[in-house]
Amino acid sequence: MSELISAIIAGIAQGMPLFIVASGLTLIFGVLRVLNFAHGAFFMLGAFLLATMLSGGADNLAVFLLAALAAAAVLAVVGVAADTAVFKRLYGQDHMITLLASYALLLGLEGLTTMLWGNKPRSQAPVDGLGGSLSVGRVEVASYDVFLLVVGLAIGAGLYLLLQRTRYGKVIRAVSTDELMARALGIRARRVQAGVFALGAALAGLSGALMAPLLSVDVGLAPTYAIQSFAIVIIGGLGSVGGALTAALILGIADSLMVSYVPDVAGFSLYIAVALILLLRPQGLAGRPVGSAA
Amino acid sequence: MKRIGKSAVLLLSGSLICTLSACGGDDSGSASDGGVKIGVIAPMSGAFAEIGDNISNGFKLGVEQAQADGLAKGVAIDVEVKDEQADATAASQVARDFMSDGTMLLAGMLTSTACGAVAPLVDQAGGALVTAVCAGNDLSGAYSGKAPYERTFAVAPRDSMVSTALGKVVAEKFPSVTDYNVFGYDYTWGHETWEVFRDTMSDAGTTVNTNQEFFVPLGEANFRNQVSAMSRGLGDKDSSAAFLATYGAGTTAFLKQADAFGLTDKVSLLASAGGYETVARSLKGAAPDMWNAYDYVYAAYDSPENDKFVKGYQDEYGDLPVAWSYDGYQAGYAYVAAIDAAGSGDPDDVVEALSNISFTGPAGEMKMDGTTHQLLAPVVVSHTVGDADAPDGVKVLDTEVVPAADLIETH
Repeated sequence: MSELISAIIAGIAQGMPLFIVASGLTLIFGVLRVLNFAHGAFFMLGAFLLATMLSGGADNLAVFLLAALAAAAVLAVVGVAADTAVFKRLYGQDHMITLLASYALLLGLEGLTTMLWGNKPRSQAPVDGLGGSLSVGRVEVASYDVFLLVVGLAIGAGLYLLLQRTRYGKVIRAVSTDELMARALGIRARRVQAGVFALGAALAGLSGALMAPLLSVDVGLAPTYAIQSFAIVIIGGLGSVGGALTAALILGIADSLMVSYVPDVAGFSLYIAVALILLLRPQGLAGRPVGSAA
Repeated sequence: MKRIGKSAVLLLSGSLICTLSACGGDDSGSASDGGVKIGVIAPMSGAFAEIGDNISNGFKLGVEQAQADGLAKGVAIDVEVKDEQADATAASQVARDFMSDGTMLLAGMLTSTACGAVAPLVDQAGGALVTAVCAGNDLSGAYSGKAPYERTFAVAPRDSMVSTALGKVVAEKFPSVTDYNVFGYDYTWGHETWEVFRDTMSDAGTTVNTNQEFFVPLGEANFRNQVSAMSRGLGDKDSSAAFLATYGAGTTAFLKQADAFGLTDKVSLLASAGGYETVARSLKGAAPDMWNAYDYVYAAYDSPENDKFVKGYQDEYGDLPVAWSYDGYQAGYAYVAAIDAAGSGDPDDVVEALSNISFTGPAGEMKMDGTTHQLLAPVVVSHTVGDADAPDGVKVLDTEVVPAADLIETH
């Protein structure tokens, strides 16, 4: 039993950082209908910025969080710049065009990262006090994973409150549902779209910064997390933050159970889950069926 | 107007990509009249760009030092580097570009798939290829058999030689460690690396129990589930080992995520057969106690040739050389030795000369096996640990050089 509980906890720990990355991606798609492949590059930049600000050294949690938020703020600016320079001109176009443009942006940002930081991988030390693990009975969980779980839940709750309980959230939902009508009602849709893009990029940067102590900080991070985020957004339902959270947790737990009980096929767990869920529910867990009323 | 705007954005994006991701690589010029031009194909952009730099820097230094040693004296050898993006299709295209421009002497590459794609093209076009890092077991003649490609020569020890070297040393030093927990990349290299190591241990009379096996996709970075499962499934520390059939970012991510569970402290042996030096350096003094087998470690050799290579590399590029720099150096030196023996840069003559070259490199006497087209170079098994006060944050505790003759006969 403890084996099963440990596997489930490990799966949740694996899924939560993926949710943080995917939340920004699904938010951007939900409002702007942009499949942003450059999201992985925003994640990568967040990791680089944090490792640079802290010089790769260990720091206390407060300093680490401040640096992570600063990285997120920088990425918000990068997001606005990307939106203005590239995506603004492509809104309303075929998804393939925006996807290609975002892929171009991804490659460009990878190249820019190499120019700024060189091509040697960097390393970020664990946060002071969060380097070990916690044991409850025979169940062992990494302290840093508990921290990520708390942060992930906080982000999920924050996004829910923002979208459902604030006036700005209503405006975002209005633009997402019917941009033309929103404009007719006097909503500055462009400004809202830019704000959402900034928020999505900031979430990607924040997740990159939070994950930096667990990874090799190099340009290879960009495509890795872009693909996983896309899988979560597809499974969760394009544009649904709640769906992304559910999908990330399902994927994390499914992978963990497969690693524990059928390790030979565990490497394919992501693809198996995507195939199964899309087979049973093509619109994703929280998406609307194709052809249904909005 | 809007259409023009969109086109401009796409054009700008394309230009930006080419500018920032180093399309076309380093166009460092063409061969002067009467000179010889060598095209180096290496990953100069993306996640493996550091390896590309090491290969190309090592190659240029190998050419420079070989000529300083009196080989191909007076011949103007021009080296041009192009980007293969660690991709077989891109590598093939770069090779075609080089050869259609008349550059028939090629070298370099990282992955065996890239080398495997380029080698038949070189055979068809009548060029010559000296591979640098790629060391797939099907690139040179395995089991002392005939080389599969007439015009391709490998300077890096075959993958099976590396795993065999590690197996021999570990069998001797850790006979009581019998329960292995494996973490590797889920493709041919990862599986073969483990299997050859395991078989070598068994051949040496050591019991090997595969306690757990986890193979993950190349490029994956999130290993919590594997680390957690491995940690839960470990047995008695005295008999337990963790074996990594990974390299680069995958090794780094595994070690960092394993650190939280104290996994490396729960085993008596942590071993890996793959490029590890740059991983250890990137961990800045926090690298775990590791036994690793690979092509080269700067501290393994005490010879004037090695000193010259290490000092030359540091003077030129500011860093201690790693195995990939050494592989590039060996390829460059081998080419110049062949051009010297051939008396020209004619590809037919160079290919013939490459079959018989011998030279003294950083790792000692090197000789090309004319049948297998494999340079008989040793493998270094190193024992290292992170130490912030050591050069590059890595303390070399021990090294053991396993001669090629001890490796090539069995695998």
